[in-house]
Amino acid sequence: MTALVQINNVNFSYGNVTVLEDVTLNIEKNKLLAIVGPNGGGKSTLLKLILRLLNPDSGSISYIDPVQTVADIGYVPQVSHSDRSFPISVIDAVLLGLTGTRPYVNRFNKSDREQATESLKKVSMQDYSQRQIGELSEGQRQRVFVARALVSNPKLILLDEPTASVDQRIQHSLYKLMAELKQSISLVMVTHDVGEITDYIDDIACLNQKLHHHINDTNKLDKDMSYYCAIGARIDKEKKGKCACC
Amino acid sequence: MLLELWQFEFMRHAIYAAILASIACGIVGTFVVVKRLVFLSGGIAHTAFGGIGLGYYLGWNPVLTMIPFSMAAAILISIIRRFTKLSEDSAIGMLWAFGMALGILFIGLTPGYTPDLFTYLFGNILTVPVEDLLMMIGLDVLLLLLVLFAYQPFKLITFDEEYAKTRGVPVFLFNMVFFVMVALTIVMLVRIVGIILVISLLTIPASIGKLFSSRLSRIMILSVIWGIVLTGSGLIVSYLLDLPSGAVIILLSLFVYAILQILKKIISQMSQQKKVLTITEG
Repeated sequence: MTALVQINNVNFSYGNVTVLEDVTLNIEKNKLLAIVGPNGGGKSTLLKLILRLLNPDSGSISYIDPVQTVADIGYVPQVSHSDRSFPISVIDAVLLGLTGTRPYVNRFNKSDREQATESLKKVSMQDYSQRQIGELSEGQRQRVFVARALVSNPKLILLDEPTASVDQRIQHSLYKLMAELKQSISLVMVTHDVGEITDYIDDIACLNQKLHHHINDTNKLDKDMSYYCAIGARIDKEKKGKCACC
Repeated sequence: MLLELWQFEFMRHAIYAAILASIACGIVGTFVVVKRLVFLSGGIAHTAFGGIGLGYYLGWNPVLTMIPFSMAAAILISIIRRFTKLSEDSAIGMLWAFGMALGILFIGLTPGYTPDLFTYLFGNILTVPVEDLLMMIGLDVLLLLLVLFAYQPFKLITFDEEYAKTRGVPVFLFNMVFFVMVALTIVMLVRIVGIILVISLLTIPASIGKLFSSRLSRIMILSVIWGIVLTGSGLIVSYLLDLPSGAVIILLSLFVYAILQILKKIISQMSQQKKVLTITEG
């Protein structure tokens, strides 16, 4: 197994509040990793650390070739945080994913546009390229944001609750899309979903300050424990069957 | 008759000022409207009143003392936004009051009569001096260069600040530069509509532009054009009717905006009805 990012014994706190404690995690090639856990358990903080928006208090995060620059790590933010009324077309929004891969002065050229259309095809949104972002449904916008993350040809994509505000049918198609993408890149997804998730992912990590993996001895996913863990993330009172971390 | 007006030097200056200010307003105003920074811009404008007071007190050109004041306000707001947990609008509100209070204090300390104070509060486009025009040209060039060279990162930050950070864009720096641009644009506008009404020229032309296009670059161009048309015609109307120019420009702009907004609504409803009709007929 080859790791793309190695997180070693990372500690992080905001002032006096400890958020992450001794977190060790390998992000491996062509794998889909789900991070579950209660709100405030440090999931988003961990993503920010991987994206280098924050620095760990102690411990290290190493990026292993071919992950070198920001362009190699794609990011899909929570769709509900985006500004729906912003005047921008789908294709232009995808093109903005190339920012940071070249000098700011450079205009996007024909090959950039082809590249953007190509990523829209990957998420089956090519027919909407001239639409306004505000005219799309939440699920469609989520796909556009995945395309924006894909446009710079990243080796790794981080998704922050991609299925939080979409219905089950779209959830299902997003999971299928991620399973396809997994053939060529790695994915890390923060999520609250439980149902289908275990059919698609390779590893679940439960994060609540500390991190607990749900891979058992035979290197298979412990589905039951993952399920309880994710349920626990939703219903805090349910103590039964929780993993060591929750 | 218009040719007659052109004979007057002050009228020519006023028209130049209207055009130059509209260019800055179109560019900066579009970002202000789309990014919902209207309150922030109002805050910078009113803080700058402290600078005007200082100008009177020192006996300098108040426009010159306004520049460092409004720039300091812009930089301070960007620092508060980035490094403190203060609520942004409370911070802006306090800065707003601080600047106004300081301005009033300085004016109170200034011995004798303070001429033209009304001009800085409510504007008078007919009294724009040549050196102000030169300053406006300089600022317009600066703004155009900035938009030309850094349009993409500005667009990305305006659309999605968090995502821009993950792309390695120095968001704090770009925001600070943008707020400083807002501050300088406000300094430019003070001669024309005055501190209290400055917000109008940052919002109305861009809002009209937004009615006609949903592309950021086109909204900018449209709002520059509408800005020129509205300030130009407002200027002529105010001269002919002998009314205060700032007030006329704003009331005219708002009137035009309201008409266009209503027309747009009617047209979109009509085209929707047409669609329904063709569907039911089909």
